[in-house]
Amino acid sequence: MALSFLDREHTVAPPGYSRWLIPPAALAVHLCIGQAYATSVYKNSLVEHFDTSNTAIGIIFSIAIVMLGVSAAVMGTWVERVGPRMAMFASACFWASGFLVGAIGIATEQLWLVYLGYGFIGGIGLGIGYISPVSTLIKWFPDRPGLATGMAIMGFGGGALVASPLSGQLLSRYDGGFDPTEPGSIAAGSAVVLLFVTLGIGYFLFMLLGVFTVKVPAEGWTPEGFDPSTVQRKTLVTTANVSASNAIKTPQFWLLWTVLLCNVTAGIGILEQASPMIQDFFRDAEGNSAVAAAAAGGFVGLLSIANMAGRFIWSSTSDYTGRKPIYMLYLGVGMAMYFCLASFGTSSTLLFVLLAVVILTFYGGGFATVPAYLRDLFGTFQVGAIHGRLLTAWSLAGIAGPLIINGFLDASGGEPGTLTAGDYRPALFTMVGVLAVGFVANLLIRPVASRFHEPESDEPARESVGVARED
Amino acid sequence: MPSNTQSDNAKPTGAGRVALSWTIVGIPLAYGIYNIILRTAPLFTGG
Repeated sequence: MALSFLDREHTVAPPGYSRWLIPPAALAVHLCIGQAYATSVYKNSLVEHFDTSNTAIGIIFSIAIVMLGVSAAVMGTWVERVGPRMAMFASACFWASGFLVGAIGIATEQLWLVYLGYGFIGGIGLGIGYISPVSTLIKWFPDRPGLATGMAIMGFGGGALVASPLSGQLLSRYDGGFDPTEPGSIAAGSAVVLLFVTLGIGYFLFMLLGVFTVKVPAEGWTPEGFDPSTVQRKTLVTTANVSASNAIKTPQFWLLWTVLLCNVTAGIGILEQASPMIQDFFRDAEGNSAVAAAAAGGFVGLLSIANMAGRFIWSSTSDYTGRKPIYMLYLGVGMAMYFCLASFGTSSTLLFVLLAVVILTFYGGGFATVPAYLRDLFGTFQVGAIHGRLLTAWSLAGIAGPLIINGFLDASGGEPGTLTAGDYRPALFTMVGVLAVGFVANLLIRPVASRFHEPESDEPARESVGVARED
Repeated sequence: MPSNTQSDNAKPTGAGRVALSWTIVGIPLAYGIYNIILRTAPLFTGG
């Protein structure tokens, strides 16, 4: 069969294959699907092109993120069974098709086709792509799983950094009247069609780099000089394996799900409102802000860097500190940071920026460290599938975070452009409470009971039976 | 279970291939970081 090279058995690495080829393969996928967080570049163009509301266009992104969570949860065991190469290829096909169907929708002025294309089809590509390299990276880096998954998931944050300026430059090329540096400039719908076609083809080709590079380690492979007993001596790290279907029956899964939900909810709360928030915090009695719009845009950019850097730095650090202590840092210090932001944030712009940056590094770190935490608790057997199920917490946090912030701001009765720091305080103190819930959930995590472990004998047979039973 | 370590390597992956793979993903990432640093500048210059 022509596509048989995608099968798991054809992706087993030969002796001598460098494991350092796997992180760039993962990055090739995550850098592409990270575009999902750079949709604001053409959002106004779509609003004008379809002559509709911001909400109607925002639904495109919402569908994509919901589909990310749903497809990661539903397709997780399939990804484990077919291996990373097939999964990355499927992700590339869905992601690219999503752009192309979306382009047809824009060209023919049928918004439902954009929902179907970028939202539904592209969202499936997002979910499969996000989890596709996780299990493989953990198997290649049993000595540094946090470092490995941190590198890949950093790519998802980096993807938006790449897509945002790239989309702006492409739109200005396709529409001579569009200037991405002018806040009021809006690209023509035809330019967005060409942008979608370009991104669809470009991302497909770039993701193929990951498809052709990724390989799984041979049975029994370990890195040179690696002593598994050094890892297994750490608290919470298991040598046993738990299937995805059993994992969701354990309290540990739901405690970690709560940890991720709380950490992401708190981070999204700041990300969602970053630009107006810094201006509102330094607004004087006459309603003028000491922070200019351009500087507020710079603040958003700084948070993007903090988010990306936190994914790599904190996840790598967790290999030395252990996963539970580092989440105590994310959640415990995060609570202190949020409290200080609410109480003393108005005292200086520098202090406000520093606190927000630290909070965003914890937000990114929480995302990137969670696959290694799952490996510690449930083993490597179906860690990708378990990770997929855990990402439903992200989908819920994507709704809860903005709801909390916007709910309190709406309740304050202030209009955008007139809000002050006092209007944000109830929401920020609520986030302290949200993080406290996550902190307690993390404290309650203990090793998984042995009744959930897979039998230890005949491992290869067990894997195939386990996956077949799951599906 | 026999351990199959990198010391068994028959044909090790060349450093050039590893460097090329990292360069291919590193270039767009560097482009993105450069652009975001430019965007961040007004925060420190008060622009």
